[in-house]
Amino acid sequence: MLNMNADPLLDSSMAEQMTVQERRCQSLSALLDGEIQWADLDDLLTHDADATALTVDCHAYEVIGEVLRGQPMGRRATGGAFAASVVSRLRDEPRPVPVPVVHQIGLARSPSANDAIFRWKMVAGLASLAAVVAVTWTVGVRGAGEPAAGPQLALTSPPALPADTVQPVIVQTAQGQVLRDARLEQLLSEHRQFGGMSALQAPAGFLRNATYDAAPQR
Amino acid sequence: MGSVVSFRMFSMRRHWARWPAVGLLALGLWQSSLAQPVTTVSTSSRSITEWLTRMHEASRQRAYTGTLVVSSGATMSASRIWHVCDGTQQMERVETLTGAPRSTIRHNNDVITFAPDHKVAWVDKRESLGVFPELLRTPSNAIPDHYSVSEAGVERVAGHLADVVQIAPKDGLRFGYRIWSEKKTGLVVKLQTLGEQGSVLEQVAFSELQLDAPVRMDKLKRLMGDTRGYEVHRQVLRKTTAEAEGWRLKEPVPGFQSMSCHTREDDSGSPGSSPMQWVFSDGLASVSLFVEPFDSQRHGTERAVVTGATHSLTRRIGSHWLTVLGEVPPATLKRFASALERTR
Repeated sequence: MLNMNADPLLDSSMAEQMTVQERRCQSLSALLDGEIQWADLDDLLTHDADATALTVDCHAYEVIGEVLRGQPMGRRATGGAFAASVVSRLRDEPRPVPVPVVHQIGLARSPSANDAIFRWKMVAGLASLAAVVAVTWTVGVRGAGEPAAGPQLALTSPPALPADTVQPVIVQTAQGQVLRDARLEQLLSEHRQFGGMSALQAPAGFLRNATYDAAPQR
Repeated sequence: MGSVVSFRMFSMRRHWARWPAVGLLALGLWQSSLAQPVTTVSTSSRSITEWLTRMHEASRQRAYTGTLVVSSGATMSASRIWHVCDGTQQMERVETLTGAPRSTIRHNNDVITFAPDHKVAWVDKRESLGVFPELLRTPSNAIPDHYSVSEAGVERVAGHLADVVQIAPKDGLRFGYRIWSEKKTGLVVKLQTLGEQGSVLEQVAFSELQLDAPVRMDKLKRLMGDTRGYEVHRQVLRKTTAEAEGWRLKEPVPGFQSMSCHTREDDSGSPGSSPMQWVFSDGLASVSLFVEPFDSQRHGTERAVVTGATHSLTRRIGSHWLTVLGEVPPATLKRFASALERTR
């Protein structure tokens, strides 16, 4: 065999590459002959990143082996068929069944220390009654009088309207070119131009619209 | 062993203490309901009209430059601002720093917008800018009927001390606002639109502001008039009324008054297929109703969309298609959509 390391035209890295190539071929040959050592097999599978090249080489070695043994071509199982059979076997393997995690909330709670004492239940009953009376009284007084004014009512829902099928769709209006609905964007733009009837329009609204409005669609 | 016994004793005492505590809590609730006033007392040195007038006047009497940042939903935009006023005339220049390059220059109500990428300019007139604060001084100013005002201390914005003014709605048909008004001048330096539970839907703020900056009005005027190399488009509004167009509201939406109604004309002057735009306002929030003939190709399913504080709703009304949108909660838009009806 030609000693590549001795070739003065090759630099040391190329020579080293050839040595690695030789070792790879030897390992592959030993694998197909059933004589490979575990360490060499690990090395072959771990360090050989080019799986496609390895498959091609493997196929070439199979063909060479069949020719040398005088076997007819095509009788062997191809690499693809071999891989398919492995996947099939793996699929048939029994899998561990995940055990469902059940959170049992409240079951471990011990009864209250005063559970058996009746007078404490009386106190609890009176307390609940007082709470209900307090809430009912509040709602009753508020409900009977004028509608309460004040900012807290901003948190309440407006009068219910007939339900419709319209569902809100969140649109993140892109700054610039991406428009989900060009027509809606145009109307939004027209609303900001000519519909900004607000006492805050001159102090802030105009500047806000001129800054925020995406590319003009007029 | 002793420690275990004492722990159990403590545990039992803790359980025993629970029921009287519930009783006391209920009693406290009852007492607090007795003591709580029905109306909320506003703590503000100025009325809401006085605050809004002060903010408006500040923008009419000051020159400044600054960088304005607008945050709406997940989108953030910024622009460079030049503002100058000589007491009678106002000029503003807004150069966008994000998105498509665009330059907007305003001289009182006249506005021109340059899009240098496309070499196109749009000229239009913003009548809405002239409506306030005159309206604030008239009896038809209904803002105090629907909003309350309170002050929430002093904070620093863009290096300037500012009064924090809270404007809260009195019902669920409008949003609230939190406004930072520069302490000496009253200039609005930050504005938040607030949704339910006080959540910030949108905010506008100066990140940098130079008051009394040497902005020259004559230079801005020259920029505004220099349209060389630009294709100039002019939009003309044709004023109309909802009645004339065959529309009305069956019942008013509380607080919202009709402000204007118009259609658009293109450069040729002929009425195109632009929708009727009917604008309502409660003084702070505005709503536009766009009505146009229904077109099955362009108008799909009815839906609601929200971007920041702006909500919109589409609905088919007979042979017409309605798009209602504004800086109001969806419930307000539904009220408008349900109330709108054809009169012919």
